[in-house]
Amino acid sequence: MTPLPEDRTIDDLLACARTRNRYTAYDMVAAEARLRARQAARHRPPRQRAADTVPAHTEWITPEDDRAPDADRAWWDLNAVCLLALAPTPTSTSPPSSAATSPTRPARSSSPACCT
Amino acid sequence: MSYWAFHQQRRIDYMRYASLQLGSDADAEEAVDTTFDLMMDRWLRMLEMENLEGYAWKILKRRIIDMHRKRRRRPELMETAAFEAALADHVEDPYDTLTDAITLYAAVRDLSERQRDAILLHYGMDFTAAQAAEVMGNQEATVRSQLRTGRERLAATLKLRCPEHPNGKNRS
Repeated sequence: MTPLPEDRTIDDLLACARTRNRYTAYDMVAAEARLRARQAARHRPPRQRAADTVPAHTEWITPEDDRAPDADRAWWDLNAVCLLALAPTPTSTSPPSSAATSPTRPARSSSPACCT
Repeated sequence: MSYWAFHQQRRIDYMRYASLQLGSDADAEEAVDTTFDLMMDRWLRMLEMENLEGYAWKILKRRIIDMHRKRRRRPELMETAAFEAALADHVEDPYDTLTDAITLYAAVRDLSERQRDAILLHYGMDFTAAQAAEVMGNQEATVRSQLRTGRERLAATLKLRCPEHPNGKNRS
């Protein structure tokens, strides 16, 4: 700390202490609205608060559940079309495979009863 | 007194004080918001208190300490207040003022908490002793005493003369 001139008094220094007022144009309406919103958020019913704090899209969905109702049907149809396309031509010597018209479904734990 | 009237009356004072302590408008706003938020919950009980202003002031000071902890920072009063003093409207030479204000506020840091608050409100924020006493929830005589002893301690620390005021009191 640099020494101060001896002829100065503490009052000279204290005269430099005055700070500016940064909040002469402070938005009191916004401040009141913020306080009301805080109170409202805290006093909402617990169920509504929980719904607000846990957005639906953040919930984990298991792969089995993450499919449209007819996804299994679509998977079967697509599989059948692919096998038909890849099936041997009629000139082939080997007899047509039953898989061409009736593809074997791989084991899937979640397969609905109607598709097995 | 209604809660919103009290809010209207004290919000700016609290914001000024908090921003000098925290060195940030956003942090000051959060500290003051949480202060008034807590007061809203306790308002009916506060109305029955003998010293409502003193209780509110204590809440504010606690919230400022919480903000310091949250931001993992040490108090920044000296730096912030010194720069705010240099930027004040009445200043002719900001650099001289900044040097003096840094010296002064570095010494203010060593005062007791109550003396520090009294000095900051009176000399730093230009409150009269009566206004400072009202904000802190103290008696005016107590604040005058804190100002007098604070001023004497500052003079001793900075090795400056400390002339007695003509009426034996601090300016107010």
